[in-house]
Amino acid sequence: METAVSNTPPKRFTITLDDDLMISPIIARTTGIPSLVFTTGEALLKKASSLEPVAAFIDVHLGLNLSGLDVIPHLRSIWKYTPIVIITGDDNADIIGDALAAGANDFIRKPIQPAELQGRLQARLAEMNQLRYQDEVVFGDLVFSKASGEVRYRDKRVYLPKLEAKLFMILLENREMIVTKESLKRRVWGELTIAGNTLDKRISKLRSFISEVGAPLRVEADYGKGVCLKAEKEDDEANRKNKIKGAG
Amino acid sequence: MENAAIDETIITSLKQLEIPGEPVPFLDELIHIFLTDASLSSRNLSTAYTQKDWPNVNRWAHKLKGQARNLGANRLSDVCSNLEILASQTEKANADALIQASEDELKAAITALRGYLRTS
Repeated sequence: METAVSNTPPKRFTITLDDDLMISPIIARTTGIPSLVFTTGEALLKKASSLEPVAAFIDVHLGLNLSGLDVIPHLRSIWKYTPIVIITGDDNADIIGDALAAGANDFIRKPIQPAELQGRLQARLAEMNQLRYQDEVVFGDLVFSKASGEVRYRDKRVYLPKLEAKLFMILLENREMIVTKESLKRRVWGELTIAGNTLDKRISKLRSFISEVGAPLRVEADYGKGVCLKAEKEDDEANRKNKIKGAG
Repeated sequence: MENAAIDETIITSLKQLEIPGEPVPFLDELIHIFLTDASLSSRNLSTAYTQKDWPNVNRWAHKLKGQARNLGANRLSDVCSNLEILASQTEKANADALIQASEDELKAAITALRGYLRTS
């Protein structure tokens, strides 16, 4: 059985290869983006070259046919920069070693702990993006230069200060997904103790910079969960431009 | 103190993924999946055991173990782990008792999980 993969998958999604139907909903809830589920390795391999997931979560044990271990090398050859995280209920360290040697980036044990999954995924995304993007990160018409902090959107550009640039990079890597405030603080400021509203102030400044170049992005804060960088839909962008025109 | 059928910390972490106001609470959705799928795994496990089909005993015990772990049914998970080991050994002396234990622990897990449901 496989999930019906529509002709147009969602813009940002993960893939779950697991015949345990509880896993993909847990992954989708934890990351905040849909997870397309496949229950056999064969079904996933048929579709893999037409999909560009943010990450793939692969169960090591998959019943009688192709195991997760068998599938990983093929996926790695198709998805060079996609984090592949294995899911295992196995206490056998050899299985984990074999999966990592086959091309997986990380592993997570059942029961899935949402905070652990988020942390591992963000770390692997950061690593793979480091490999994928030497300097510029391109997202539609937006180009972000990591070295200079320049954000270019069509004919406009703005330079982000260092901390806002770090914040933007993390949110861009994890766009459409929730990043907790604790994670942001740790990754931007490290071990430094910062005042309670420092992050909120930086987020507010980042919003101003994004607005200045007119990029169709918005930083949403869910006070219970974290922060998320979302692409605006076309009608949202039109409404925003109309508001700006009306204000002018 | 005897282990409870369900590890409350797992339930708590899953509840934190719920979205306020959603028509079916996320935890309920997972429990409903478990009620269907774990029962099927258990039936398949019993069938495999009756047929002394040890590779499938291993397979279904492993599957039921994972399903149990997702929702903190650790006692059931532990029994399934022992069944996996048994399936790969030559000596099968405890097999009957372990199969019975898996059925008993599944019932206990189902009873406990039904207590967390907020929708029918």
